[in-house]
Amino acid sequence: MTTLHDRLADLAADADAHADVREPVHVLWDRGRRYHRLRRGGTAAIVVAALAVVGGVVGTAELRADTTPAPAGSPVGVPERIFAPSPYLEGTEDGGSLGRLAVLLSTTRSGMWGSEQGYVGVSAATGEYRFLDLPDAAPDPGAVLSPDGSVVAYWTSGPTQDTPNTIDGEPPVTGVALYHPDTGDVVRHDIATEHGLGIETDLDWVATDTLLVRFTQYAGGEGDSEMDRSTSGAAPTLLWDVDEPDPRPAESREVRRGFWTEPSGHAGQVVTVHGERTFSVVALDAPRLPRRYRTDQVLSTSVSAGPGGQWAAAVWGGPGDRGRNPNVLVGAPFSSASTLGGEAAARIDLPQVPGSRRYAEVVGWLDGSTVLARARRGGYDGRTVLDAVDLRDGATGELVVGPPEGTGARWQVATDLLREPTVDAVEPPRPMSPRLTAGLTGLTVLGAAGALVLWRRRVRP
Amino acid sequence: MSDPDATREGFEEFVVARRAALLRTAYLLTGDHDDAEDLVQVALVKVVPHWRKIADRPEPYVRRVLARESVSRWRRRRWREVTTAEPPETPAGADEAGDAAGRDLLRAALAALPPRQRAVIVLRYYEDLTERQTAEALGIAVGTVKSQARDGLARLRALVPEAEEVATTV
Repeated sequence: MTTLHDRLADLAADADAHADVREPVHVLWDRGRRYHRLRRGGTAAIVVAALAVVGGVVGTAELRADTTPAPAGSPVGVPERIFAPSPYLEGTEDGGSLGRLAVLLSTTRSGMWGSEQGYVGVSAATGEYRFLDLPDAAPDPGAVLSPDGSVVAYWTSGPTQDTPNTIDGEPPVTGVALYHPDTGDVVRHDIATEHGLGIETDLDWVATDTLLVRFTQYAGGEGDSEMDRSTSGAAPTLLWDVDEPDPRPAESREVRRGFWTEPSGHAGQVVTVHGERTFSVVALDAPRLPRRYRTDQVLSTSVSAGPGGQWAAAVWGGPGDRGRNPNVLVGAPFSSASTLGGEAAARIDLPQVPGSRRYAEVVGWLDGSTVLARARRGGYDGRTVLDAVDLRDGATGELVVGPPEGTGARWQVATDLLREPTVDAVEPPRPMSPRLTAGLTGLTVLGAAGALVLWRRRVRP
Repeated sequence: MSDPDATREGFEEFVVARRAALLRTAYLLTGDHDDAEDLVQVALVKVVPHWRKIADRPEPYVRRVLARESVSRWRRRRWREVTTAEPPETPAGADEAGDAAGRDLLRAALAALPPRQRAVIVLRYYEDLTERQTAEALGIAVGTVKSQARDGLARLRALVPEAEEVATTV
C-alpha cells in the first residue's frame, strides 16, 4: 500500500532530475554575509533617522519652552505689555519660585491628561511667566494678587464636618490660604463648615497687607434637599493681616449690614453698598464712624474711594449721545458732597471726567486723585489696557497693555509697583503641547518600527 | 569565539550534504523546479548570519527558514500567480505513464492548496515532523497545524480521486 509519505517522496524525487546548482557553495556564503551587512546597515539607517526625528521633536519642544529672563540688574516693575500665556508653561514646582509678582493671570492650564483653571505669575524681577502651584486650591480658587505683589490669596478645598456640598463632583471650598511667591510658602486657614462655603464674592485686598474674606455657609450637602443644597446663610466677614497666622472678624456693623462690600483703593477702607443709590465709606481703623452718601446717578460699578478718602470715582452707566453706554469715568472729591444734616446721607454728584470713554472698572488708585482704570480698546479681539486717569483734568496715560479679551486670560497687576515706571516686557516661551510631543514621538517610533519590519521583509538576499 | 574559516567550512559542508534533500522539500513546497532552487538558495543565504549559533544543529533552523520563506514568497507573488482548484486531466497509458500522471496529479493537487496548508502537509507527511515541530517551523499554533492538516488532507482526497488510500494510510 502506498502511503502519502511515499507518494510525496516519489514526487520530490523529480527535483533530483532537475537539480541545477546555480550558485557554488562559496558564493552562497559570501551572499549571506553581504545580506547580513545590508540588513544591519538598513536597520541602523532607519533607527538613526527615527532618532533624528524624535530628537528634532524633543529639541523643538525644549527650545520652545526655553525662557529668556530679563538681564541681571534690570529694574523691578510691572511690564509694559502682558502676553497671553501658553497653557503648557511650567509650574513653580518644577521651575521654582518667581519672587515678587508684577502680574497674576487667570487662564487655562493644560497638561498631558487634561485642562483646569490655573494662575500664571509674572515675576517683577525677571519678567518670567510660570504657573503657580497652589496647594489644595479649590476648583475655582479665585486667586487675588496683593497690591505689592508679595502674596497671592486663594480659596482652598478640604474635608467638611458633614456631607459636602459638591457641584459636578467638585469638592467645596473650606478655607482660604496665602501663597508667598518669593518662598513658595503657604499659610492656610481652614474655616469650620458643615457642608462647605459659598463664595459669591471675591477675595479682596483692602490694604497692601490686609485681605477681606467674605463667604456664606451652605445649609445642606449630599443627600439633603435641593433647597438646602442651594441655600447658604450669612457668616462673619473676616479680615486677614498677612503677618498674622489667622484672620479676625471684621468689627464694623456697617460692613455687616451692607448688601455688599467693595475694598477701595487698597487704602484700608471699604465701600459698603446699602441700596441702589446709597453707600458708606468705612475706614478699617475707625470702623464705627462710617460716612454715608447718596447719589442720584446711574452707575455701572460701585463707587471707589481713593486713599485718604479724598476722591470718589466710578464708571457711569447712563446712555450717551446715541443711546449707547459710553462707559465714562466719573469722579469728584468727597468734600463736594452736600450734607443734608442729621443722620441722613450726604448727597454727592460725580461729574464726567473729560475724554474718558470705554472704561470697564476702577481697579485702584495711583494717588489721591488719580485712578487706575481698565479699558478695552478695539473690539472683542482688541487690547485690554490699564490707564492712569487724573480725575481733575482727565489727563490719561496708558501704563500696561494686556492680552485681548478673546484669549480668555484675565489679569491683575500689583498696583503698588505702578508708582514706578513700567519695564520692558519679556515675551514668555511657547512650549509645545506634551500630547503633541508624545504623539509625534510615538508616531515616529511606530513608523520607524513599521518601516523596519517592511524593509527587513522585502530586502532580498 | 569560533574560527571564521571553520564556521564557513561547516556551512559549506552542510550545503554539500543537504542541498539535494532541501531541494526536494522545496520542490514539494513550490511545485516548480526553478522556484525550488531559488527558495533553497534564499534560505541558505538567510541562515548564514546565524550560522555560528546553529552550527551544532542547523537542520531545524534551515527547514524553518525554508518553510516560512515559501509562505511569504507566495504572499508577495500571489498577485501574479493563478492557482487552480482543478487538477490536470489524468493521462491514460502504460504503468510508467500512469506513474508520471499520478505525480502530476499530486503536484497539481498540492499546488491547489493554500501555501500554509501545503507547507503543513509537506512538513507533517513528507518530513515526518510532529505537530509541535511543524508548528514551530511555521510559527503557528499546534491547533492551527491540526486544522490545516485536516483540511489539506480532505482537499487532497478530493483532488486525487485514486488516492483513496491517502485517507487510510496517513
